[in-house]
Amino acid sequence: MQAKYFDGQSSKVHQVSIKETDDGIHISSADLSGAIDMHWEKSKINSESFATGNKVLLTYGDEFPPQRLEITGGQADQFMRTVLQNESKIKNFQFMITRMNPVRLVLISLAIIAVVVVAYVAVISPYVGEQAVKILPRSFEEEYGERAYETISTFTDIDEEKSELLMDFYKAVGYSSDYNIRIDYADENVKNAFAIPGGQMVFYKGLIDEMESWEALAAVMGHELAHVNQRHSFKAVARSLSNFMIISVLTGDVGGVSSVLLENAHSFSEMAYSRGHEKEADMVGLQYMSEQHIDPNGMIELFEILLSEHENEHEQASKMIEFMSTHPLTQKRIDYIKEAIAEADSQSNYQDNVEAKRIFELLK
Amino acid sequence: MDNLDPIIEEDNVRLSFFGDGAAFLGIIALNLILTIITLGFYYPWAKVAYRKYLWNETEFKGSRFVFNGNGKEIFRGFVIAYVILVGFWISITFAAQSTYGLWFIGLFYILLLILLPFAIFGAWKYRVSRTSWRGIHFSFDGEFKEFLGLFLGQLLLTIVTFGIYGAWMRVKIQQYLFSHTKIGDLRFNFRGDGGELFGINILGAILTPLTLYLYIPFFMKNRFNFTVNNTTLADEEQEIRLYSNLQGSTAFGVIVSNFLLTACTLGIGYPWALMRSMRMYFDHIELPEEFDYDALKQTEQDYRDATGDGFSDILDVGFDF
Repeated sequence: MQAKYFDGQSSKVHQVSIKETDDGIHISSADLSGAIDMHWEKSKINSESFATGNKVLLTYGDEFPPQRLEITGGQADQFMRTVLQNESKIKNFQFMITRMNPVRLVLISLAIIAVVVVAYVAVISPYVGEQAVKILPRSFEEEYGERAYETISTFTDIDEEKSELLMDFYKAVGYSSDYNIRIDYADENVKNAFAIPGGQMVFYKGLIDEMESWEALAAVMGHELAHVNQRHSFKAVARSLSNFMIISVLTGDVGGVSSVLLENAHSFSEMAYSRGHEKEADMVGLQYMSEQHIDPNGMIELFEILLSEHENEHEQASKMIEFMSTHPLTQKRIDYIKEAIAEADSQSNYQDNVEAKRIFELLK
Repeated sequence: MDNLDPIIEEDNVRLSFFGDGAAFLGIIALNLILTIITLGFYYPWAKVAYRKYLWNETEFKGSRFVFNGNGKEIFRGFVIAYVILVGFWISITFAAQSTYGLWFIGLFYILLLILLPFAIFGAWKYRVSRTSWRGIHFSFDGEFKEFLGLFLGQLLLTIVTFGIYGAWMRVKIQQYLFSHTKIGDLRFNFRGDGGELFGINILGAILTPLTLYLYIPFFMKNRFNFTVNNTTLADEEQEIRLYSNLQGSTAFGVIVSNFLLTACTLGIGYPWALMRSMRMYFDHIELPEEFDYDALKQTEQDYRDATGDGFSDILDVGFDF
C-alpha cells in the first residue's frame, strides 16, 4: 500500500509503498526507482500518532531525528494495531477513542465523568478534608481562630458586661470543652450566633431578646459549642483548601469540562457538607442539653424564633432552593429535633437551673 | 456536524483542523479517570495526551503536526518548578518573620518578576521545540538573559505609562519570540505595530461594554488577524507572509453559538465548542502556494527541558498567541 516517507532531514515527501512482513515493514520507492529500499524491524517501530480520518504516523528507532511513515486509509489502522500490540494499555485506549463510534464514545465519557464527579463529591473530598484536620495541630486552629476573630471584632459592637454574664451562664449550665471558650455579646439587632474555631463564640442581642426561656439560650450555646468541639469550621476551611488543590491538579490545561464540572461539584458538596455540619451541631447540642438535664424544648423555641424570622423574609423562596442552602430548612430542623426529643423523652428527667435562669433574666 | 473539508482557495494553502468533539471528550474522560486513580500523578501524561490530540488534528499540505513531548519530561519540569516555588514560599514565610522581613518580601517579588519571563520564555521554547511537521522540528534560539532584559524594560515602560504601553510591550515580546523561532531552516518573524494593536484594544475597551459584550467576537477576530497577518516566514532567499481574512460575521456566528453550546449544556458542550473555535482559527491561516514547502531542512537538536512549561502551568501565565 501507499504511504509517505520522511527521512528526518528534510520535509520532502517520498512516495513509497509499504508491505507488512513477519518481522516488520518493508518500504520501497513507489516509482520503482529503487531509491528507497529498506526494512523496519518490528521492535524499533513506534506509534508516533494517530488522528481522525485514518491517519497514522510511525517512527523508527530512538535516534534524533527519527524517520517517519505517514499512512492514510483503512489499512493504516491495521498497521497501527500491530505496532500498538507492543505498547502501553493507555496508548491503546487513546487509539480506540479516536476510532470509536461517536455516540457510544460520548455516552461512555459522560458516564465516566459523572462517576468521577460523584466519587469526588461523596468520598474523596470529604475524606481529604477530615484527614487534613487530623494532621494539623490544635494550636494552628486556635491561631487561625484568633486571626478570624480579630477581623470580626473590629466591626462588631461588643458589650463587655453582658459578655461576662454569658460566660457565667456557660459555667452555670455546666457545659464543658477542651477549648478555651470565650463568649461575646454583640449589641446588634441580628438574630444570629456563631462560633469561630478555637473556642470563640459571638451571640447577638437580636437573638437573645427574642428568647423567652433560659433553655433556648442553653440550646443555642449547645449548638455553637458543638461546632467548636467538632471543629466544624476548621474542617470546612481545610476541605476548601484540599478541594482547591485537587481542582488545580485536575484542571490546568487538561480540559475545561472537568474544570466546569468540578467547580460546580465543589460548591454543591460545600453546601451539602455544611448542612451536614449544622445537623450534627443540632444533635450534639441536644445531647449536651440532656447531659445537663436541660429541657430540650429550648432548642425548638430557638428554631421557632428563626422560623418566624424566615417566614417574614424568604421562607417561600428558600423552599425552592433548599438544595442550594448551607443550612437545613428551619422547619425541617424543628421536625427532626422533635423526633429526637420524642425518642429520648422516656429516659430524661429535666431540672430547672436556678442560677442559669437568674443570669438569663439579667441578660434580657 | 460541520463539513470536515476546509475550503481551499486556489492560490493559497491553508492549515486545517479536523478535531472532533466526541474524540476530544473521550481524551478528557480518560485523562480525568487516570489522573484521579493516580492521585494527580498522571497529570503530565494527561497534558501530553491533550496536546498530542490537538497537534495531530492540525494539518498542512497533507501532513499533520506532531507534539513530540512525553510525560516523563513534563513531569520532571513540573517537579523542578514546583520544588523551586514551594522552596521560595517556605523560605519567604520564615524570612518574613525576621527583623528584615519586609526586605525578604521585596526580594520574593523580585524573584517572581524574573520567574514570570522565565515561564513565558521556557514554555514557548519547550512547546516550539517539541512540535514537528513532516519530521522537521520547530526550534527556538532566543537567549534568556536578552529576553529578561527586554521583558523588564518593557514592563517598566508599561508601568510608568499606566499600562498604555502594554500593547507595544506585547508586540515587542511577540516579536522576540517569533523572530527566534524556526521550523527547520525557515525563520519566523513578527512585523506587527504596537500602535495598531493599541487601536484594536481601545476599540475593544470602548465597544465591548457599549454593545453588551456582543463586540467580543469582532475584537477576537481583530486580534487574530493582527497576529496572523503580521507573521512572516523567511529563508535566505525569500520571505513569505501568513494571511488571514477571518470575517467578523464568521467569528460572531462561531463564538456566539459556542457560548450557547457550552452554557445550555452546563459545560458538556465545551469540547465541541473548543473544536469549533480551533477549526475557525486554523482554517483561516493561509500561506502562499508557490513556496517550496518540501525543501525544509532539519536544523535542530533534541530539546527536552520542560521546566519553563511547568512554571507557566503553576503560575498560570497563559501567554498564548
